[in-house]
Amino acid sequence: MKKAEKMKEKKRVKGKMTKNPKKTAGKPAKKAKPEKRKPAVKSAEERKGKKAKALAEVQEPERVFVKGDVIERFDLPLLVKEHVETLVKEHSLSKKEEEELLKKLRSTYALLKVESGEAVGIVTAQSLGEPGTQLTLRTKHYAGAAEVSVGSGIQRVEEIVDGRSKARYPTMTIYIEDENLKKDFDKCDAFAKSLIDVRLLDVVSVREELGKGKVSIEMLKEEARERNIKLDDLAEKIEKQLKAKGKRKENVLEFNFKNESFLKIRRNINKMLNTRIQGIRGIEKTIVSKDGNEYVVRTRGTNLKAVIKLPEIDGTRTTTNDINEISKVLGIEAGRISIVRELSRVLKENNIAIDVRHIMLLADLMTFDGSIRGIVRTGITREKSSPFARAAFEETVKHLLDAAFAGQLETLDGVVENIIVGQPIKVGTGLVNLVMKSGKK
Amino acid sequence: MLRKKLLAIEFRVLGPNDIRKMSALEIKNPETYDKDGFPMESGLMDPHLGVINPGLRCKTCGQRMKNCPGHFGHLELIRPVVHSEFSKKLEMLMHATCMACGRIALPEEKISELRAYIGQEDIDIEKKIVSKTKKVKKCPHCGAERGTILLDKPTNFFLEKERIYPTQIREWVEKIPNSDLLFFGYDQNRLRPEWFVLTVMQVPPITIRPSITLETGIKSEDDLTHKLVDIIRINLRLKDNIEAGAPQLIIEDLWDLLQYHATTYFNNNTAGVPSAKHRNGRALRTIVQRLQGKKGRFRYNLTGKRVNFAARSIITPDSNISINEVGVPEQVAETLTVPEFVTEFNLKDITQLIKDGKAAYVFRPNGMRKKITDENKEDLLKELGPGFRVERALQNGDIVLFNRQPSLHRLSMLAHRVKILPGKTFRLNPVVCKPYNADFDGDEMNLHVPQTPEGIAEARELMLVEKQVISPRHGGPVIILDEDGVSGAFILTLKTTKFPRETAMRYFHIIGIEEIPKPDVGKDHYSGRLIFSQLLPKDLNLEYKTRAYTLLEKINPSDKDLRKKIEDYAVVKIKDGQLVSGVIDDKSLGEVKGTLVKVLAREYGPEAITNFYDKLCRIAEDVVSVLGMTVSLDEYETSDAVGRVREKAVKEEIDEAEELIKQFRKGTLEHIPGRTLEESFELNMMRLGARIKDKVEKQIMQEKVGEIFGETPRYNTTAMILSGSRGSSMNLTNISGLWGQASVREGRPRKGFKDRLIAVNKKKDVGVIAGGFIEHNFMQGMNALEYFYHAMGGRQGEVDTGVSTKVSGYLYRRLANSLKDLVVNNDSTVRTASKDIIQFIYGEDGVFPDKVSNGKTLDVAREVAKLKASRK
Repeated sequence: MKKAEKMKEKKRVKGKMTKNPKKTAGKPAKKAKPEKRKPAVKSAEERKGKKAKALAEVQEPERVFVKGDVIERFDLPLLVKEHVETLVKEHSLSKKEEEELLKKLRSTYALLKVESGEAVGIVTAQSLGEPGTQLTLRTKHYAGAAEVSVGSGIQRVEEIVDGRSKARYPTMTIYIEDENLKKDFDKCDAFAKSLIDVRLLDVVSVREELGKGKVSIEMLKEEARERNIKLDDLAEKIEKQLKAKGKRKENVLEFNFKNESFLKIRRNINKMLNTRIQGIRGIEKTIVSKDGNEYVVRTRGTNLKAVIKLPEIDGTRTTTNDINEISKVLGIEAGRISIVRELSRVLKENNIAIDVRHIMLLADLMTFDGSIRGIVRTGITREKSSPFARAAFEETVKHLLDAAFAGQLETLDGVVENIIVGQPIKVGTGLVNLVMKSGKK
Repeated sequence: MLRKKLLAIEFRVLGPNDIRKMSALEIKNPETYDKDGFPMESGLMDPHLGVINPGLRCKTCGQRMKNCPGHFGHLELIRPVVHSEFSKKLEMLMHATCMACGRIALPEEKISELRAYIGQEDIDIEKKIVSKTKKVKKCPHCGAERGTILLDKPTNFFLEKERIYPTQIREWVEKIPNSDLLFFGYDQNRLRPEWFVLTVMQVPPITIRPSITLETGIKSEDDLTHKLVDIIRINLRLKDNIEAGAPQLIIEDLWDLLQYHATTYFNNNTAGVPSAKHRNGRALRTIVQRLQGKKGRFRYNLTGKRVNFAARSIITPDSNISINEVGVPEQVAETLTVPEFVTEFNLKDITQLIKDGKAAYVFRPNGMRKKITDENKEDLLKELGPGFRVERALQNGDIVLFNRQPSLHRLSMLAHRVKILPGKTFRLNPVVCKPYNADFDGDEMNLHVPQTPEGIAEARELMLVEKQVISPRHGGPVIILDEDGVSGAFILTLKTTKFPRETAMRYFHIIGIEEIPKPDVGKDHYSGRLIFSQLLPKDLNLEYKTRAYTLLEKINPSDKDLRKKIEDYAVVKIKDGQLVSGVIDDKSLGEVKGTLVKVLAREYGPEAITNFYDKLCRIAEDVVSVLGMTVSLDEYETSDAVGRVREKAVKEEIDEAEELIKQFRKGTLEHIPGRTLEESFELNMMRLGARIKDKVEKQIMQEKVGEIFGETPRYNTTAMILSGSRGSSMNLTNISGLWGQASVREGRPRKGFKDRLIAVNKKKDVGVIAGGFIEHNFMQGMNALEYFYHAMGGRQGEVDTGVSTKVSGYLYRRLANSLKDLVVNNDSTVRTASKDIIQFIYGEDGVFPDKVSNGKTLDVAREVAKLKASRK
């Protein structure tokens, strides 16, 4: 019971949050009542009582149909209202005309609403699956700049849909807030370079003469310059890491560890080499490119948590293509939106027309329990309560055995289950029943 | 009609007592049939287990084959064996419990601590316990020593390297108290772990392992029967040996053999066990194999079922039938039937049907079926009255479902009305090809006849072709006129197109107008636009950009004359149902983007769109054949201007490339940030190739466009490209321009020989020609070198399509499987099968995509425009 309440809580919070970022949610239906969820099997009397109660609840002016034509008090989505406002101004419509327009829109809107029983899930699956063969296999590069490759095509779609924790081509787009950096390429480039994860091994080369206990470390001038590192600083850092003073000869540092064991020297040096001296972990490469009238930094490798803390950047727009990372750093709602955004992007790149609503449904299914779950056998299908549904998908025997151990009950709620036993499915027209009154006329 | 309804199915493990209770017979005899071919008593084919011969009666239930469900038998094993599929569970239990007392090897307090986790699905208590008890050396309850358990997969257990036998295992787990079992997620009242060690085996009914008689008269047994015979044999031998007091070693060997047979009986693919094979080497298909996989019971038989009342044939096109019709061969129509209820209103008609021999069966009110023959016809007619049901042959106008595989989306199965036609193929209006993804190069399609009034009504109201014109995927049209249809409409609506009176009258006849408009070109000629306008509703007002508009932006001709010509066609304007300007192309008729079709389907309804398509399809076809849509070789012969541009472009390519190579060799080439020198060079070369091709393409298009939009248009490849019906300017460039840079995996082809692509090139030559540049076109033909470059690119395309269908097929299966239970509930929420809420309101605005254009909830702008129009 405790758990059930928790789930409800989560869902309620989620419902509220979805409304804000996109602002399209219709108002009234948001009040839907999750409390109504109770075990299905009930005695007839109980059900009757419940029905009466439920009817009483619906009495709220949620949807008042007047002869099926005009629906008063039936509110339009916010986005539409805004659009109406701008258009009314633009075309300078009179008050009366505006009224008329709204009335027309409301009645059309009422006709557009999804019918209950609509198999939205399967339509979504088909909409994504049917054009699947049109998706390209190859990885694509950013238009214009061939520097950062992003996944595109079917592999990227799979990656997103699977909810994999590591993207194959992780990349960030960092927007800059600092006015100076934003407009100046050189400054921006310098900033971008400073983000790159540099380990000491990238800028030094080591020569060991362990027999004499001598280690000479050459600081590579070219590499250091490329990464904006001064040799003096570098020397200091090396000494600090090795906890020893070395003799400096131009760009070579010499150390003498006579009294220590070889193993220890080796270990220290390796540790030193792996030390990060600059940048942010995980960022491998950065490129500055122009986006509109400002410069943005694109990276290979991502680390949203660290980047977003930097004072120079615009945290509201900076993003990564790693969905799991987004949901870890910014929460599941951000994760949901990034699924929608990434999928839409890939499909659009491949010229596949698909309504966002489908993608949103998929994203909602993947995220509704608060974590990102993939459309794989270890993800959503495993969570299904029906043994038949799981058995019909993959690992048939395993699921049947598990069901037997736990003494599970197949309640035949879903689609496959009913197909298996040969009953009408509870979707669409299968959701309703006709009952004929018999006897009295 | 009262139907049985299944409410729930419970899963559990059968215990030995359950098996005995269910059993109709104990099987003791390893022989199946005697010499005369009769089943042996208490053998595997004993008639107590069910019947598979028609006519015989079951000895257990007394019913015939059709009604007897089959009955289980059982087999008492002389020595228990481990059920291979359960051995892992046994291992867990043995790790966790004490051999002496059966308790979990943890002190009482710790056990009660764990009790809190019981019932929580996301916590694996089993693992938790095992990780803690594995190293406990002494049982805290009875103080007995504990050894380490080792499972030699799948069924051999060792305790401290000493083999322990199933009997011992059974004794061990028998001791585990019910209260401790709770921790392992077992249903305590229904399941005991000792059941995992089998003492009795269930023998499935004959009905699930029927023997088949081959044509030669030899009986062939099912794989399961074979395996069961093995088990019974070994069981008997083991029994004899034990009774005879054979040495322990022999008994153990036989015991192991029994274990092997039991294991392979359940799963013939168990890891670590050689699979049991037939004499010819084929592996046996035992229980797990029967259930699992694509051809297994679940996916092959339970989720995909075979049906009656279906037909399949090749499809051929016929634009003279309506889009919602399907031409059905007479032969098919005579064979397929529809049930019809006899009422007082249709009694006459049905009597006539029976007289004409167009009904196959009569059902009496009590459900008795009677076949109608010439002999009993008269008697049946006398009897016939309300309450009877007749199965009559298919008639014109019946609703049927039509389907083409692969059924990738819901539009792969649509409802059509039957039109009985001579011939043997199904006839399909070409407009409906798109949703089925059908063509007529030998495609076959299936036809199904719905058999209940509910089914028929549902098909008619929801699945009829004209009600599915708008796709639920993107909200644009999917049932569209394409290819020649678009070309025809394009040619029809060109400014220059006009028809003499006779032709125009033919079109007006197709359209079916009664008031014939006055000739608008000269005295007795009708413009194509006027004819097209007759197809539009009289109150239609629309304005949108055509393909010519984008063309204008793309090639941006400097030629002012040409500009003007194109501008003329750039915008479609329909005023009060008259096409005023613009040309009808795929921006009007095409998939997703076809504005005209979208508006017609959405605002004027299914009838209007059917009407529009039926007529336009016929007219367009006629236009294409009368005015002559054709391609010829001289069309691809290019003018000198193009030739010059081409030569210049090739020269430019070579020159610029040389410069790049020089820089590359010297190392002065500017790096593309983040790329190595070589990568940068290759990228530059690719871009160069693309730029060159672009130049040629532009020149060719400029010339071709002028031809079409000029005074005397030629209806050729260019017309197809400009109307968007087929092909692109790139295809034209390939034919008469130049092919350009061959590409493999987004770059120049590289792999081949060491340091070069083809053996004729010099090693380490990175130049234009050696890198796969093709300077010829298809008209000129390629030289040998280019031919191979071209093939490299072509091969990649082939491979890609192969891989991508495989990958996307699996992706689709997974998506469908996890999404299929999501349904909009009565409270407007989207929920899963277990009623978890996924969305409170579908798609954030509660509107289904097929009711919405371009994803917008409402087209406010159009409403405003309409409002303003009405104001005037």
